[in-house]
Amino acid sequence: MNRKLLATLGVILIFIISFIYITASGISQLSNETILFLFLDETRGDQGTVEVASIALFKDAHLQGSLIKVSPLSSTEALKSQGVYLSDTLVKSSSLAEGLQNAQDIVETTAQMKVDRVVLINAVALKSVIDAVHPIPVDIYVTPQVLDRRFSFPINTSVTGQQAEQCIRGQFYPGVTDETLLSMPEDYLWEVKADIINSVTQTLFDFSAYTPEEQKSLAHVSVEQFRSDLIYVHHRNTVLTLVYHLPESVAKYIVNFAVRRIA
Amino acid sequence: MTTIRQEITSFLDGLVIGFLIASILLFLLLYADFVPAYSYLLALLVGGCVAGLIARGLWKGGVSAFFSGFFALFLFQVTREFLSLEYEFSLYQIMVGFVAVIVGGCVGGFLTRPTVIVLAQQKGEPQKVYVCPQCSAEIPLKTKYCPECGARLQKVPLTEKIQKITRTGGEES
Repeated sequence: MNRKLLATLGVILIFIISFIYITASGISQLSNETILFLFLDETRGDQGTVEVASIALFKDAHLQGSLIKVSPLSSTEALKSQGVYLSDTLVKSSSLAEGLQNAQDIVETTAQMKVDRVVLINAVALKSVIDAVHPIPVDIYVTPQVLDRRFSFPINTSVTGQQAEQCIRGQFYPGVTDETLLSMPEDYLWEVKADIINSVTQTLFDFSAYTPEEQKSLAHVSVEQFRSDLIYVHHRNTVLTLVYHLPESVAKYIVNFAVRRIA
Repeated sequence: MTTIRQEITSFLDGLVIGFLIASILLFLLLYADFVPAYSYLLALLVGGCVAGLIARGLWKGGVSAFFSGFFALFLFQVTREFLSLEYEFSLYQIMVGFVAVIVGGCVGGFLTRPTVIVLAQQKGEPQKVYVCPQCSAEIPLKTKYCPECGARLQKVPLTEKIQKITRTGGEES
């Protein structure tokens, strides 16, 4: 009886240690990558238009500098000849994998850097995540270049989840006056939108700024959005696969552990 | 010899099972962030208690639990770096942990301490023993005839006979 009990307990201990090791190494891998975030507007019922594209460089689980914005109207020579731009890569492709590959190619060519992973974030998902941690303060200086004229204006406000969702959809620009918006050509508003969303995302990733309850709430909402495919990660690694397929309660523990580790 | 072997076996069983349970709880509770400041104490207390229950005996349980707690903490310290469990125990916390595991072990050991079976002596008069006048065989039961030689027994039991001899000093009246 004792031998059976010993063997069972030993196996359980080895399993737990292996499980923790797998999640820890998976988190470590993700926190040292260059990740492309594509913020989507799916209101038209299509696969989603890329409204904001941002590159985040992570090192030791911390964001290096600001997110790099990429114009949704950029493209490669080959894709431009087919009429495919970053904003419509998902719409104008036969499959999601092909669309993501095209988007990655365009961003890598435009930004001249290698992207390790692509993450799609729906406008609704961003709203839910922001709502989990209260309004996000934004204090930036936007300087879009319109032909030979450079605009320059500050944005100092708090962005709620709904405002961020509307911002991605181009319906509302928090902290920007109507006069400024009207004075800018519509084709250049993506820069304002990208700066606001990048600032919000950057603040969201600063997990150390949150209380343990907020961290837990953020982790739980992220898991729900991820499992319902509103946040989609292309080429999931082991830990993301575990989070996607394991029961939701276990997945929440894994993500909560990741958030604590990064914080 | 067998008793010593059994004692050692139960001690080692308690130590190993206590260590495994303490380690499992320690890793699980800290991974799940279950009140980290106290969860390690809970893990050590439970592990120690199990060690004591299996080892049996107050001292044996305490010592067995101490070693199981020591090995559980050692395993945690060795693995916490690559498991990203960023909990660093202070010397004070380790000392409190040892107290918890020993208390658990002592409680567990006390609950399953070996019980001394004392057979109660039969109360009442001592059983009378008869002696056969023919063959001098001692007959414990009250029978009419001696089971050894078949002679008819006297009615005077041996115990009374001894008392009589003690009184008279062995001289027949």
